[in-house]
Amino acid sequence: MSAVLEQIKENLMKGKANDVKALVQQALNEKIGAADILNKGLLAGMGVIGERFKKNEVYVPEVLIAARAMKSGMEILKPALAAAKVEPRGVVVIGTVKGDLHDIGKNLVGMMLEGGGFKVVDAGINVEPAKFIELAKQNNASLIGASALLTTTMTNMKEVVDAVKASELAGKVKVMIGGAPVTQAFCDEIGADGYAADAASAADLARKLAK
Amino acid sequence: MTKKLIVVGENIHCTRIYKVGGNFARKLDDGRYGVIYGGKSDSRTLIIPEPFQKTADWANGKIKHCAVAVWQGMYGSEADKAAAIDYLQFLAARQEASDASFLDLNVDEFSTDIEERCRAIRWVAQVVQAKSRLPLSIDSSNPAILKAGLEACDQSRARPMVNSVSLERQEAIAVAATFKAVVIASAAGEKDLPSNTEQRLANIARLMPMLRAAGLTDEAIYVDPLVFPIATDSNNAQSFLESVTAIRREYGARIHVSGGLSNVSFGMPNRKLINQVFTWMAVEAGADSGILDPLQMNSKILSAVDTTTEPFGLAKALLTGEDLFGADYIMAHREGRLGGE
Repeated sequence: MSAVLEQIKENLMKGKANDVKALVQQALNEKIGAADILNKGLLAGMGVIGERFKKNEVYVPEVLIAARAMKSGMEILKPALAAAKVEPRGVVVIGTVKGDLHDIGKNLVGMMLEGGGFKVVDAGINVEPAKFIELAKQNNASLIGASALLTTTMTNMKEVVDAVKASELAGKVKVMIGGAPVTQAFCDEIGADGYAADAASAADLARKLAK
Repeated sequence: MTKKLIVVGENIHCTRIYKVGGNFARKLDDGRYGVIYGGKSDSRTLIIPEPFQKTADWANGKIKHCAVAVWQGMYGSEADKAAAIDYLQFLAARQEASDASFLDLNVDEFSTDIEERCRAIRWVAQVVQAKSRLPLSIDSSNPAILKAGLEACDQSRARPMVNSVSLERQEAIAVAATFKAVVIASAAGEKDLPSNTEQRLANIARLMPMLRAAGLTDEAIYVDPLVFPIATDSNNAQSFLESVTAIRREYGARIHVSGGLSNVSFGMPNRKLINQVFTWMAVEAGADSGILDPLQMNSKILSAVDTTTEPFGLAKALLTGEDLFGADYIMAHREGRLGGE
């Protein structure tokens, strides 16, 4: 593998945004393919960070700065990706459900999804089911990720699942759920397509569901 | 100098986790799994029932130990129920001995069935009150559970606490008033959580007249400006502390200023150290209370905090935002310079 791709990966893992930016530009100058820069450089680095995060070997701020470094690299890479017609793995609309104002977990999931090669559309907090549907349609999403931190609001996840089923998105868009009080049993009960216990697993789950 | 801290002991929560295979939850000689408690000299066991061994938590090596106790208390055999009562009473007594002022009870994540959770909070309230003289703090996002918990509170002891009321949860104010409870008054807004000091103060300023109208006096109000993790934003601790100072200035000496101080360390290594230093800083800023583990932090521990050590300095730099993204703190952790976890 090209040395510059390895350097992109290493510097991304250290959260060195400026270095990653410069290295992506260098890789482009060396005529390395945009898809390779993305997959073997940026996403490879985020993949390692995700695995280490799952094992408690790295901590939240380190994930944050790695994700920030990835964003910087992507800014440089985007035109080349578009020219080479490299598509994201899929689009995921994420949001915290109606009545719930918590966004820390949801934001972490968003970062891990981007690190997994997805385009993320963040609907924010206190999101009505209709808003999830609207954004999924607008962005041609293949997944909706709904988050809740409270037992009083997690029941609103069922409304999101039901709204998708009742819409033209039924069968096309899958719903994944997560948040402190959420369990696999609850996921089965409300008929959601998948549950992930933490942000890194959410990216794995999205990859599985988007296939 | 002796410092005074009103601790709302947060240890009886159905969210609390032990690592399976660690000192507090492991496989027993007979092949079953158990929660181990009571210390080396008086080690006792609470059996972990089958349903808990089929959860995603279990697959990830985690067990919600208080939830196990509640389950065994409600559905276990006579022997398992007795162990569940013993376990919860052990947790209660230990917090009382560590100078907690309230015992915070939370069963929100025990199940999704509201009736079942109401039964659970009543049962836990009765069990811990049979052992401890402390008043209870009923912790729920659901007014029906607050009410069920408060109904189970012994009227003859100090006033119970409602955790929490806010603009987002105004119906809980009336519940608190009915049961003559004191309140944690959080700075949450109706539609969002505050992201800076101004928004926190504005939300509190709008909430306060509602509390007064319900008959709550300064002594019965524990203002919680809301603590967010330092891991996700290096300003989070500082903006909480600024709010504490501003609330103390605005509302005077008699009102209580509190908060879920351990939230600050989410996503970081050596949380105990961060929690202790953050509590010390909160008290310096004007807080007199915290929703905390009293085994980690109480008046005695607070008064003995040594501000001259390297770990204290590192945690303080993290919390002031000086150590951006906690890079120095995490490196010190990896090099073993923060002391034990």
